[in-house]
Amino acid sequence: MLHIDHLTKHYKGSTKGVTDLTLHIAPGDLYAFIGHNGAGKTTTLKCISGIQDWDSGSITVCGKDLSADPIGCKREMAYIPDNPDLYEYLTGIQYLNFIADVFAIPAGEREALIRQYADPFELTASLGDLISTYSHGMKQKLAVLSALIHKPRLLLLDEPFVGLDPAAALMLKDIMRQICAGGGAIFFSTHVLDVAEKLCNKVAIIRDGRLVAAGDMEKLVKPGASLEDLFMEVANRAETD
Amino acid sequence: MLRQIKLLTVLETRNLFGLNVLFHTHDKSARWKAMAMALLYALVAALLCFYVGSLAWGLAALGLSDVVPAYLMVIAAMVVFFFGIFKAGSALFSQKGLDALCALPVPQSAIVIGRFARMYLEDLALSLAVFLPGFGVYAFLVRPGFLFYPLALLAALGTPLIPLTLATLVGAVITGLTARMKHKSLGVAVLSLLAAGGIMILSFSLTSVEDLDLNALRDLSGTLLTLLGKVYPPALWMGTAIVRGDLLPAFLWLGASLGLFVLMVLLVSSRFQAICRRLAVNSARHDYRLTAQKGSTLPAALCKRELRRYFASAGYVTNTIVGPVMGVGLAVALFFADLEAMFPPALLPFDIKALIPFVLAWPFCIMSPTAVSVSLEGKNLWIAQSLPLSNRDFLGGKLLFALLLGLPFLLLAVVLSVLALRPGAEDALWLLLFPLLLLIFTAVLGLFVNLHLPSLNWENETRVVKQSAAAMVSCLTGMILPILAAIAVALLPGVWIRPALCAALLLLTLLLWQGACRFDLRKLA
Repeated sequence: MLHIDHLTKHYKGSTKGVTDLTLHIAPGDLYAFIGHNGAGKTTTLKCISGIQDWDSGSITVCGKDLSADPIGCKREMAYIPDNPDLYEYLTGIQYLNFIADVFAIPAGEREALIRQYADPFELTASLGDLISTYSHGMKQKLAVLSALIHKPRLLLLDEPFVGLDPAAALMLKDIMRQICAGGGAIFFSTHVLDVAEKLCNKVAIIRDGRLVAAGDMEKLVKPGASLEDLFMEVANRAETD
Repeated sequence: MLRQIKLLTVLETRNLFGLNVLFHTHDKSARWKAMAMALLYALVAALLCFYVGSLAWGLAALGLSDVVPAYLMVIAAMVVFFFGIFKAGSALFSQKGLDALCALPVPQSAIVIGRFARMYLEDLALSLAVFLPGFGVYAFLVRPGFLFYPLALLAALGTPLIPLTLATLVGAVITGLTARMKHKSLGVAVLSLLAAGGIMILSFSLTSVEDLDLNALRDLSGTLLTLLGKVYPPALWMGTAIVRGDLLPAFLWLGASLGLFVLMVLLVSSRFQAICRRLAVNSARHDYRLTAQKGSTLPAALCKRELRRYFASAGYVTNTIVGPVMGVGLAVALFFADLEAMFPPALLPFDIKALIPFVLAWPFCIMSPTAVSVSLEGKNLWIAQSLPLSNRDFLGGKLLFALLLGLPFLLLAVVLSVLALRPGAEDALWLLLFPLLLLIFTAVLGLFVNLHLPSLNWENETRVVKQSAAAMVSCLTGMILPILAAIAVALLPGVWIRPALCAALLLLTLLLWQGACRFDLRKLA
């Protein structure tokens, strides 16, 4: 589903970035991406989503090379940033229709698709209001909704649970599981290790732009230990190195 | 209290003209861009200096040097007022960072004074750009006494106060009136334009020559001063003080300026949070009922989004709609203008009517909406970057909107011009073709320039629209190009010149469009 090979991205005038990152995500994977602040999580996600260019390496989405066919790749995926800055001059429904127009979703299917996610998120009544009037959590819900209505095969999420109320967070977790059960894949960054451990089948840990651990959650987290223990162990080991 | 005022003033003014970011960024390209921007400001300042200096020189050469100080004060005050009227409300009552400031143990007046200080310093730069060359020429030619220098300095420092106060008052009233509107930006744009236009008309109606004693024209200096005094009385007080070295009108002017300014600060401070709360009220209704939705084609969807973006920003509308409106006004004026009397054919080596297409095109080229449309994506740019959109789609939506906005005005202006001038078929064709091609060219040029000079991390969109590098480059190029084309037609009167100019414009437009489409949008991240 997603192949990242030897990805390197450095910013001019900064030591931050990503160095030689290789990661493969298969259909059905619910992959957590964890690391300290500034470790390179958002940079990686932005490179995959086509927002950021990179220095070397390759990214393949559903068999398509992101450099050669960015539009083809973007049709297969959706990205939700950590801070959903949406078009505040549009109403929620105008924003959803704009996204639907870009993905050429037939008009007849839209009502059902929007209702499927807007009703459980309790967002339907607010869809006629300008996004500028939304709270952070409502914007986050709308961003999730806009990402889901075109049924992406790969979902990229940057800190998706920040700002969501408990019910919405629970619902998002269910949706994530459903997408992966249906053959899709999800790659998301989080600082909530507890959620990552319970939700995901795979985990990748990044430190100072380098991948320091990646693979099956069950294999990486030793019996009786937690993801938090693994994270601290890997982080300390990297510091000692 | 004074310490808090000082701290908040430093905070507000720290990033004045983007200087703080420039000093602390490690990004070399950002520094280069800032230097290019500084060069551009210097160019605009040089143009303004040239204009003001020439004006002062001209007045002095006509023996009207007594008028110069008051004239300069009127120019500076009008510039500050008309810039201020569009930004004062939003800058003073901006919600950005207000919650964090209100949570600190600082009085509201300190916040208000800090914000006023920032606006004052920005306006002071405008004021100095008028006074330095103007007073420089005056001092060189008139050789005034020592008292001139402190009074001139006082005039330069104090002139922004009254227009800033009045602009804030008008801006605040407009912001308040539109606070509860769903499309408040559109309301602000319309009311700002009406207020600016109304005040302009009022000023000119006050200076009607019919009201003046024609005998007074013999004393041209006195007549001009009377006119200036009617437009902006404080200019007359301080102007008189500078010319005569009289301190009494200077104190009167200073008292009026400071008094009004302090009164406004006190008034705003006393109601600051209440006004901000009122402005922050949103018009959410929470009563939407989901029904069947309608779809649009991709170009229509992108164009509709641009339309909504456009009308969501009062500054964007006011800055870009004035040109097309002026274009139509110019066409209307052609009905009343006797071109042959104004420009006798015997005295001109070219046909004045051949230049009409460029005169008509000029206002349409001053500021295309595309010139800042990429910058205005701001923090939303990630959406377009992550969606399956090609550059052609993304930029095409912006281009399409700019043309749809400009075309109705342009076609109306052309039709009116044709009716007014009654040209032959060929001249009528050029009357349509040149403005049309120049409109398309400036729209594409705006996109190209904005992609290469983006300003995405803005705090206030009005600054992007009015002061960004892309806006200034596009504006200058758009203003100069029709003039160059007109000069070419005037100086090279062969039959080939007009088709050749059209072909050159078309080719340039296509090259710029190709360049824009090849631009890697990820570089804007």
